Amino acid sequence: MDNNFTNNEKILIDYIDGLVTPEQRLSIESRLKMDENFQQEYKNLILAKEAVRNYGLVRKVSLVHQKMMVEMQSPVKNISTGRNMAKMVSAVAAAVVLIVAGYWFFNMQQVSSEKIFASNYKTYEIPVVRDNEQQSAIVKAYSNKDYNSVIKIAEVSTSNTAQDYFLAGAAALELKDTAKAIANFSTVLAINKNSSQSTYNDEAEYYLALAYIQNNNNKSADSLLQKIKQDVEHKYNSFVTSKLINQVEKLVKN
Amino acid sequence: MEVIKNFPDSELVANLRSGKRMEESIKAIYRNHFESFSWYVQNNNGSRQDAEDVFQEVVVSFIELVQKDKFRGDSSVKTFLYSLNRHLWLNELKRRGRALAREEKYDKNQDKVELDPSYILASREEKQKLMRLVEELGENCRKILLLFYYENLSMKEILEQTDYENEQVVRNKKYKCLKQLEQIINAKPALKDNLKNLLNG
Repeated sequence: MDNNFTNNEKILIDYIDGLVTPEQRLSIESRLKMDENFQQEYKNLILAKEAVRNYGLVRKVSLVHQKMMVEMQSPVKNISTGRNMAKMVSAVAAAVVLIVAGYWFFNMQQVSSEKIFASNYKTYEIPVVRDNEQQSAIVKAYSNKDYNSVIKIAEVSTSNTAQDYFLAGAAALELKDTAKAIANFSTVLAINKNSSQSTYNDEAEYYLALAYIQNNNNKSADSLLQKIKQDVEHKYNSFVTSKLINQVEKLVKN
Repeated sequence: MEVIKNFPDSELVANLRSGKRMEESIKAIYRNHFESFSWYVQNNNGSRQDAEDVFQEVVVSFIELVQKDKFRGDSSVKTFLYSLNRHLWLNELKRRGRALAREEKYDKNQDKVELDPSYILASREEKQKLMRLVEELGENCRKILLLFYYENLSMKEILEQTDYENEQVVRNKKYKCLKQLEQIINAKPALKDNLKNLLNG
């Protein structure tokens, strides 16, 4: 342990964490009343603890926000009751026409979206790490292609890093859970937006665009791909060809 | 399949205060209020993105107030959230330099409460500065501190989620990490005073 780390600081942290004996507590509280430096140190540590709690809360809300935005993209309509028969017959007839047309349109859209996705998607591979570098549980699971475990690990904790969310998104994409992939990649972008760092941002943008394509959310895919194409320093710039952009733009127009 | 759960106000506030069923409770707030509050922002010179950003701030501020026992339940959760949403959005517009007060359009049937002055709501920039301070910690430190102080996990549970040798190593690491964050904060005295108001206000 660091030599600069004093017993005072250690006992104060234990006191803040509620890990001292009743005798120690009384002694600390008595000293806090008399020793200004000790009291200042205590206030500083409390501030640091509160900063962590606030950070955790903002991250938690941001994570739920991304999930809810995905959920809210799929509106649920109520079915009303008490229609008269004539209205019902015409509604059914119209519905049949719409279903047939919709089925044909959906199939066309689905096939081409699927095709574009399939020809551009490659499983994300984690860069090779040095032997002595510690690997987190999520990285190990992803490296072993245990995608269900990757998602499970990420969902258990709210202290995930941008890398954890990205890997959870990449795992979801492998398992064809597009909504979950979109939520996780969006979380990476949200974390980076609120941060001075930009971890896994390029990766998240590219794979989010592909997830959007698979989800037939072509307008969102198009704007992300345009952004990547315009940024020559983007890691995935060379992956976004003019052909890909043209194909997605066609889907948007359809 | 996820079961969509709704909560009466008293249960929702109790969940947020204790931190139990937090995700379900935040989701319930989104399902019940996001669309109508988003409408308010978008009808008052805001975009959909503005509405999303403000609503996230509303939820964070509300949970902070509940956890500091500053939400006394004098009004319903909906009315209180509506006032927070309105207050945060008007502040944001003021920051952007738009005179909105006389143009403000809102649902006249919507109850409003005037926010108590003790509900100190920090600006978006102050909150972002706080986030950046914590970001200055390495990922390992951030993770240990979050697991302990935000998720309230024990050393044993933290050990299971990390690759440290034993609980004592985790405990020592946590001491060092909290001290490191304290030093990061102390190195910015001007920001430190704002933080005191933001976190303890």
